[in-house]
Amino acid sequence: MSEGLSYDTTQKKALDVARTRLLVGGALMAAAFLVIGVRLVDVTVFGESGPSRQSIARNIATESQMDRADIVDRNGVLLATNLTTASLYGNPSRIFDPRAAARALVGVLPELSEAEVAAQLSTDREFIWLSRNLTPRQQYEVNRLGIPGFDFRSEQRRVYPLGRLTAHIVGFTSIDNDGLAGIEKSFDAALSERRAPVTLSIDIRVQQIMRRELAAQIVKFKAIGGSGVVLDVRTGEIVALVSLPDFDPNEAGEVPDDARFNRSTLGAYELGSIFKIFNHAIALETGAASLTSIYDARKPIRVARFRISDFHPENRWLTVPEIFMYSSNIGSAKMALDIGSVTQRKYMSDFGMLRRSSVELPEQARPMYPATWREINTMTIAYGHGIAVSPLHVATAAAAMVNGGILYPATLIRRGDSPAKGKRVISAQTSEKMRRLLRLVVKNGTGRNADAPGYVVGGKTGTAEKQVDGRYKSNALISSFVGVFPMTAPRYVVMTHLDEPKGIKESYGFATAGWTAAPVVGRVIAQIAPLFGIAPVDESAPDIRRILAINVAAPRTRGRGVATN
Amino acid sequence: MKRPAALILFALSIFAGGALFSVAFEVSELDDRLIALNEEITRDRDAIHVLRAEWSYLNQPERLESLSRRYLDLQPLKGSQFSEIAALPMRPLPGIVPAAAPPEEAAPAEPDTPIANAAQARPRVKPATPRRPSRYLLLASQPSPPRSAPSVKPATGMNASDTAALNASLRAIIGNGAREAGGMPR
Repeated sequence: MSEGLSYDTTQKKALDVARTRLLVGGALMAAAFLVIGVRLVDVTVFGESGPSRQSIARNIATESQMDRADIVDRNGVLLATNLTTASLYGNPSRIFDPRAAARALVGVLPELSEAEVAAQLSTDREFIWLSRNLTPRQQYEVNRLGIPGFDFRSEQRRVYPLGRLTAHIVGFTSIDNDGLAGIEKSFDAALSERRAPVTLSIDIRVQQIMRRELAAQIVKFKAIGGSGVVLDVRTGEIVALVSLPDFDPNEAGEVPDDARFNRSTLGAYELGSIFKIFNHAIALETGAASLTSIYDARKPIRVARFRISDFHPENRWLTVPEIFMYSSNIGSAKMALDIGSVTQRKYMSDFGMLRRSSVELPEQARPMYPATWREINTMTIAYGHGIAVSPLHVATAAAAMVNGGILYPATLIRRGDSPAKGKRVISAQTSEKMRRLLRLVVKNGTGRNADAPGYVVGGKTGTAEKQVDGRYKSNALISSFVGVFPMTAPRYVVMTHLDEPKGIKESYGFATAGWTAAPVVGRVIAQIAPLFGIAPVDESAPDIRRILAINVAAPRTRGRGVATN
Repeated sequence: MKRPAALILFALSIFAGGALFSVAFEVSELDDRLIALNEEITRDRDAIHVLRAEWSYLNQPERLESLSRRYLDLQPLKGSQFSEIAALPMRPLPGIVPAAAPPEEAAPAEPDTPIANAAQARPRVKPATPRRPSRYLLLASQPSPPRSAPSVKPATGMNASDTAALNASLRAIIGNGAREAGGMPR
């Protein structure tokens, strides 16, 4: 029994071991199948759509990758985009007869030089660009030559469908799509990284109207160039920015320097009487003068070797509104003396006149102003001489003079619902007085030609002689006009300048701003106001006249507020 | 007992294998289709891109201006051509003659003035202010003398329906202009 028992026990032991092993093995297998089953359910039932959709999306994304983002205007009109083109390269190591190959290629692409191509193909390199961005027809003809060493690589070429219209704003790129000018340069990194288009604040319809009217005036007065800016006074957004002459950015390589020069932002000019806007604003803001102050403008001022005289001399005592209306240099210089050099400099700095503009263009003028701000500088700066800024500087600051006193940095990027934060530079009361003064100039003063009936235009003329080799030339003028509309509740600043206009018969030989620049502004405003949804009003209506009423005539009590220094 | 089980297992495994293969083929077919579709999408996208560039090119404002000068008789709008609805005289609905209105006012406006046509193309215009009696239907008659000339003169060779269509589109332009500059449909 004991044997049987011992036999039994050994057998039983072996069986137990086997069973345990089986159990462990079975459990492991079951666990493995369980894992597989769970994963199967997970993948088929729950995780079905996730990965497959992702892979599709990735597929499309990689295939339609673009080299550079588009640039569009505020309404989404395409200003710059990429097109895929074929570029021809040669592999000299696979070309047996470079001369014959070169001759054949030049037969198809006549703009290449045969000797040059032959020389390039005789090297022992493996890759040589022969011609970039071919048209489909050229590509077909090169293929038809059947020379094995020629091959194509598809490239993205930057194209500007609107050509000259926005050339100075958008700029252009090199053949390798690196931004070289304009928005293409200042947003180079963003454009090459992101895929969403860059939306500018420009409206091409307004841009076109500005460009057309300016170009017509340049031809009419035989000017060498000009600029035009339309700026939203409530946001600082630039709606149009024109500089003429301009160029075709699709062929930017072969353009003369003068055409590439952006007169509206890169040009720094002494803009003349336009600065009386700022002189008057400072005087009214600081209390140095009031709208009823009067100044002696009977005879020119002599300071050192300078002589300050009036272009439209009245030869009498003038009120502050009259100084503005007749654009009296004498009166403005005397007002500036009442303001004082330190105060004038501080306000000019506040108005952004002493630093580069905030606009997103690499082509930026550095303002030129006296290092030591002497009394004579103060007097000349009052009427816009001795300080040179870009037209955009003036447009930006003029917007602050009429919008209630807030200076918004000028921008080319559409802000939409989040406008840039402005900075108060003058009080709302002063701004309100400036509106009346600006309206006065267009209604009764030097800017009558800028009027656009119904749109209550206000503005100021500026005619300055150009400095050539340190001397002022009386026959080379910068004629400018800054207009604002509607003066009852200003919405847009329209600024333009003409470079060296010549007097014609129709203007009685004058090339001054009132004859050359002001009509451009008037015509532009008449055409763009409907685009902005600004309805014309009856300018003779009593409530509008009350808003803009101003007392021009000198008060009876001469002597009050008189400044004679 | 054992044989049928084995048979069933065998059959099942054959079935499973067949199903696996058919699924595999289906997947590879779908994959091919996916690739083809992706290619098509890319091609279409490129084509759209080229067409957008071409659209922008063909819509160069300068080109449109020269085309408009050649084929249309449109002029830029003048301030004097705008008026408010409230400033327009009223015409009563047919059948309702207000006692105060003299018969001359009830006469229809000249048929070939564009603003009148525009108003006819839009028969139900609500009065500008709720205070005005609703039985009046607005119909523009030219408020000012010929100085505010019609913006569309019927060009030679144009018939009346052409002029009406032009005026309708002109009205659309004016209507859009009243919105924010950024909100214009393109």
